Amino acid sequence: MNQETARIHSGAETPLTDDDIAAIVQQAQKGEAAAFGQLYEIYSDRVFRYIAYRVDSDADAEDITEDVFIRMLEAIGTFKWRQVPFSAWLMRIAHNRVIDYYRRSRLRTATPLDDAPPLPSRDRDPQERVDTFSDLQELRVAMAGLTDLQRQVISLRFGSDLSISETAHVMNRNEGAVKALQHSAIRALRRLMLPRNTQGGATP
Amino acid sequence: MTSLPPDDPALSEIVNECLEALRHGNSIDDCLSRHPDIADELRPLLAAAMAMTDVAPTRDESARRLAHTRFEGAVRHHLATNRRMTSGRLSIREWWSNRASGWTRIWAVGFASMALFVILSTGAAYASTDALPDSPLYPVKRATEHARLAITFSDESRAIYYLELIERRTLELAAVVENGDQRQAEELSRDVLKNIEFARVEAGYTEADVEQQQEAEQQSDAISQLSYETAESSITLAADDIERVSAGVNNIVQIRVDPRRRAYIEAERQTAARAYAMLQIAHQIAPPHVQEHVANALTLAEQRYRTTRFPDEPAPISRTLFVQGIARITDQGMTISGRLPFEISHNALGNRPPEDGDAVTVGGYVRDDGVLLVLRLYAFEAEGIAENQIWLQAEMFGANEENLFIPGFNILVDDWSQVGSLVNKPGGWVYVQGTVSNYGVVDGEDIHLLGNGPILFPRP
Repeated sequence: MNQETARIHSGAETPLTDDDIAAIVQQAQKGEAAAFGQLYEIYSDRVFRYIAYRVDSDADAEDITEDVFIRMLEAIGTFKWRQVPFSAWLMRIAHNRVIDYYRRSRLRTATPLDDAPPLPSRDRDPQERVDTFSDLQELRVAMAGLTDLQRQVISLRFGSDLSISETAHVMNRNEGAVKALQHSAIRALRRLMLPRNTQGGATP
Repeated sequence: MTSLPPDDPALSEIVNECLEALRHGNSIDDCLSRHPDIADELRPLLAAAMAMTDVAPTRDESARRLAHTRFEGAVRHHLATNRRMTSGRLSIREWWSNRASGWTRIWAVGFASMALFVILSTGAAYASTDALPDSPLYPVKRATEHARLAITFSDESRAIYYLELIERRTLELAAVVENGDQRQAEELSRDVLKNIEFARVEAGYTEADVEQQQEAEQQSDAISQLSYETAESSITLAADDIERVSAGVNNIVQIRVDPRRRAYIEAERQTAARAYAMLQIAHQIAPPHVQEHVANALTLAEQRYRTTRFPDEPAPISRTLFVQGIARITDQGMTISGRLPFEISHNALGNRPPEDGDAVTVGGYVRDDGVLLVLRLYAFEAEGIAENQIWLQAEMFGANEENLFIPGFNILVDDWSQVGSLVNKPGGWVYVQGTVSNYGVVDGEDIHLLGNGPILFPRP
């Protein structure tokens, strides 16, 4: 757990240390309602963003977030700090909920790679291109072209703002592997975002 | 001009280092200047990362607030359940009667209505109402049911809610049988049986009650039959089978309604009324994409409100008037401005005319310092006051077990144009009953009234 991520998302001025989080978790395990409230404050946005990167609608993301916290509530007694950081433990719950969501979804299928936008031609100067997504939905479409692991690493790093170490815990991989996945994910995403921008750039 | 192959771990390391720098507010150029030899390779990657963060998901603030409130409700339930279990008291009734002295009960009912409100008014939770086991929203549906049970306190209303669950599971059962999913069908059959058992327990079933025993056996038979047929996977459920199951269990509950429990039903009804009233407002303020869900929730809440009554009770006389207002607490007291919302509704006094001095608790909220503010409204004689005014009295009570009474505020509602003519109605009585609810947003010292409550007019 790194201090920065907790600070950024708690919105608090003072950083929350591992010890702070551990103390809050311990209080929650003892059944103190206020501690659950604090955990919600600290983590619910991160959980939401992680999920929102991975499902199609914010409303679904909100529902799944709720589900994650209810499960957290029920399962917190089983959490042991030494095995894994709390954030990673929580994100694993979130990850499982997302998987469950897709498992149950009949309508939803990931965009097959064959249908992904074509690779850009190499003869254009990358710097000419406008590197943007017009909105979150467009990003989601692009992310459908990633592998599941790439999607996961992007959502954990950019959605939940987990550190490399925390991400490694969630994904049960070493830090080097996470960095490599992150790199490949961004590279792939870059590839997937180019066609629209290439066309846009051609008609100034 | 790339000096490192794309899959070089060193490049991954540098990309990560730059991402961390960007996260801390550095620019892309800062990073590129540190790695000029691979700047061309890095730049598009970092730009892509920035593009991603530019469209990062943002959470709707009102959805977040509702979700937080709902989670708090779940926490309360969870903790209460755990304490009950660890203290060896398994009966919700014992737990309730131990806790439910006077104002605590009102507070609890108020809380329940708030939690119910947020559950009912949340689009997605309601979108899940019809979800079948295969649906991605099905876990939400089950979680919502779980939360709903969490905030249903009286054994009577819990029994009734279990009936609803029986009905839901039975309908799902019918659907999965049609799809030929035997495993799910078996699971659902078990759930139905379980819920029947719960409903019986909550309804106060005893071994000595032969009549109920027979009922229960009939239900078991019906369910066994369902399970058997399910196993065969070759039939579809007849609608009257489903009806037989629900109706039978319903009887179990109805039989057990006795005077002691009337208070519980009344509490449940008021809760339903509050939920309904709040949903009316929610419907006005809900963002477009959840409008439809709120409308559905409203229909259900209304139905629930209208059907939660004693078997021998006549249907309520009902008129509805909706407005909103803001209450402001000052050193001098509390004023309510804007138009107050009231629903004209059934008579909770057993259809007797209200008498001067009849008072009801119409709402309350828990302040940050733990003090529960309760609003009570009194019946009054219309001739006694100006036709466009109504006097309300607010009283404060401690939210703790001591039920501290703090002399309260007089509230003058001076913008009563919407109801002024009704106040002046021949006969002279206006009885403000029940459930004005200000469980809405407490913003500083302002209470944004999100609820409304019933006013009873005697028949001319």
